[in-house]
Amino acid sequence: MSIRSSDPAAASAIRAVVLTRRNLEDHWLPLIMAIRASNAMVTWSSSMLISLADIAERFSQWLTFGDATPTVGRFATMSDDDILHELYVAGHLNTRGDGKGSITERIADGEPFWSDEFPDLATELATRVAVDESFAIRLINEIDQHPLVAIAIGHANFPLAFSQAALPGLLESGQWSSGVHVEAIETVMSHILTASPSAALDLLGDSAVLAALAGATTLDRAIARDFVRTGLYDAVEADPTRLFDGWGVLENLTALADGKFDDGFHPGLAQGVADSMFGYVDTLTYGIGAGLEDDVIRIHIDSGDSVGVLGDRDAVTNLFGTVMRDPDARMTIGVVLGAYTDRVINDLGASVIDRTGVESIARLGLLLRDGLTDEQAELALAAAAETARRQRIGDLIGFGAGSWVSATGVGVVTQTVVNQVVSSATDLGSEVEPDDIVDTSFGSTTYRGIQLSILQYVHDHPEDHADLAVDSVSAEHWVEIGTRLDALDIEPDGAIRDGHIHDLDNLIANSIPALDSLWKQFAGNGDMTRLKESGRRSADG
Amino acid sequence: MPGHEAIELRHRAQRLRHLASRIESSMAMSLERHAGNDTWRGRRPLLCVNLLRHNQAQLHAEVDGLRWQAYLFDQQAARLDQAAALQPGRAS
Repeated sequence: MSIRSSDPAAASAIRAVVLTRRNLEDHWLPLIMAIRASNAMVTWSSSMLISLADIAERFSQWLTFGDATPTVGRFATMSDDDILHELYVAGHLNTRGDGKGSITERIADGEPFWSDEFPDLATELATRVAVDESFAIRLINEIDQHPLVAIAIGHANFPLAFSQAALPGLLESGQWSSGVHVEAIETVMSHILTASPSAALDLLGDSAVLAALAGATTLDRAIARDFVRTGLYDAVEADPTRLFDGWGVLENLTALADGKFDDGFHPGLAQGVADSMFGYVDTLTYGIGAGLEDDVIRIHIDSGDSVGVLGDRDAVTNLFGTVMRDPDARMTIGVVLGAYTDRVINDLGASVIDRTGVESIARLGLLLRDGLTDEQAELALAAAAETARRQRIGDLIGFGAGSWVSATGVGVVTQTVVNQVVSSATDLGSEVEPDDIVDTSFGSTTYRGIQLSILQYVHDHPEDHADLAVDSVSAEHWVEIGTRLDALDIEPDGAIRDGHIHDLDNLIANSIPALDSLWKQFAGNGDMTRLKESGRRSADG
Repeated sequence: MPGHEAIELRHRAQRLRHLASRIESSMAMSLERHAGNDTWRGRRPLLCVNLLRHNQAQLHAEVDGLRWQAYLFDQQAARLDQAAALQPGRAS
């Protein structure tokens, strides 16, 4: 239902309606969305706020204008050429070199033209774009000359399709040193990621767009991260059939990583990819295991037949190495691995004895380890993985196709928990000096993590003891193991933890032969042994 | 019989009253009911509510203005009808 009128006697009322709408969009919506995304909402949810949020989601239907609505101000009577001339003048005379900040800041600061005329110009542009396809196409074709058109998208109701069509041209213009251009790109990306995760995924599927994002030097990293996560994760969460398209994006990224990105992708892109790995790690791990014959990692959605090739093992290793050049992305990848380790072992249950699942984690760990070329990076990755595993966040998040639509709301919970764990892991990593501890290498930590998760599972599930051939272990020994595992969980000092683990190893090896035998079944295979070996692949391969 | 101009004025009056009713019944005019202290507290929520109240006051004034303009259109239409009725040769 829209409120509109073409009667000149209603012009003043329509102006008040437009002003109200703008205030709702500029002040109410951001606050409601910020509260909905806050940590507190993970555990507490006000029914009043939910009601308010529902209303907020209908703002776009409220006070909308139809084609017949005349726009306010002098722009309504201008020809298309005059409108474009206005844009040219605004872009060249009002923004060049005066150091007054972004267009959005100028509007907020109440600057002449920007605060009183530009919103009307934006509304007029949006109206013409909606009703005049040839004008819309002309704007798209000339978008690199008129970035203000893209900025106008943030101040009026432009069709989503217009933003989708505008983004490639803006990105490919490569004008990353122009503040107006970058603001234009950020405005369009924000519109798309807010309006349609599916559209974000479509655009990420364009290899030219992806390449431009990967090298976007001055692009805001938060917007880039949200855009990539929205496309790679949220779009698939909303429509699981699009997982195939998500893998297509990762395939293109694998090819890109083989080129000119030795210093890493744009941080926002790297972080968005890392965030999204919660949805892809299951398929990736299966692909790593299935590609043992010819060293090619194929994509098997839901463990079905291969639907494509991600790349050979070196190329995929290079992909994750490039992503993990960014410290935040590296932490998130560590969290994914740690949480996945715990989740897989618990899902396997008594069938952990088959070793296949455990070996797949080891192979994933090896692939990530081989992507690292720096000792501090390895420490941080190990700390993040271990913290996530110990906090058992895999149970909260879930992985793979069956978990996209989780009752806990994967998107929000994932990010919140990751932030907590990353913070904790960062603290842990910063406290540990490489020379102070016996072995904190990523491979060794991952190996130990697998060992401890299996031990924790076996301890917590006496009903599986017969199947796992550990029913001969005495009750006293189980109590002792439980006490030591609890002590490990709460011990913050890495060096003391290492000592506890060493003591636990000795206890099992010397006094509990059934458990020792169970563990040797896992430790004896090649991937687990390679994982335990200290060190990583050298930088030159 | 009313003239074309009087009919048009009455139509405009009707549309302005309809617009006034639409604005009055829109959710923005009752949004503050969802935004009390039970929902949120703080400076930004207060700013939101204060801005909304300011906008609501503007909209109420505009609604009054629309209805006043509609009344004037009706009055003008009535005068046109009267004038037409007084013209020689027109049937009443």
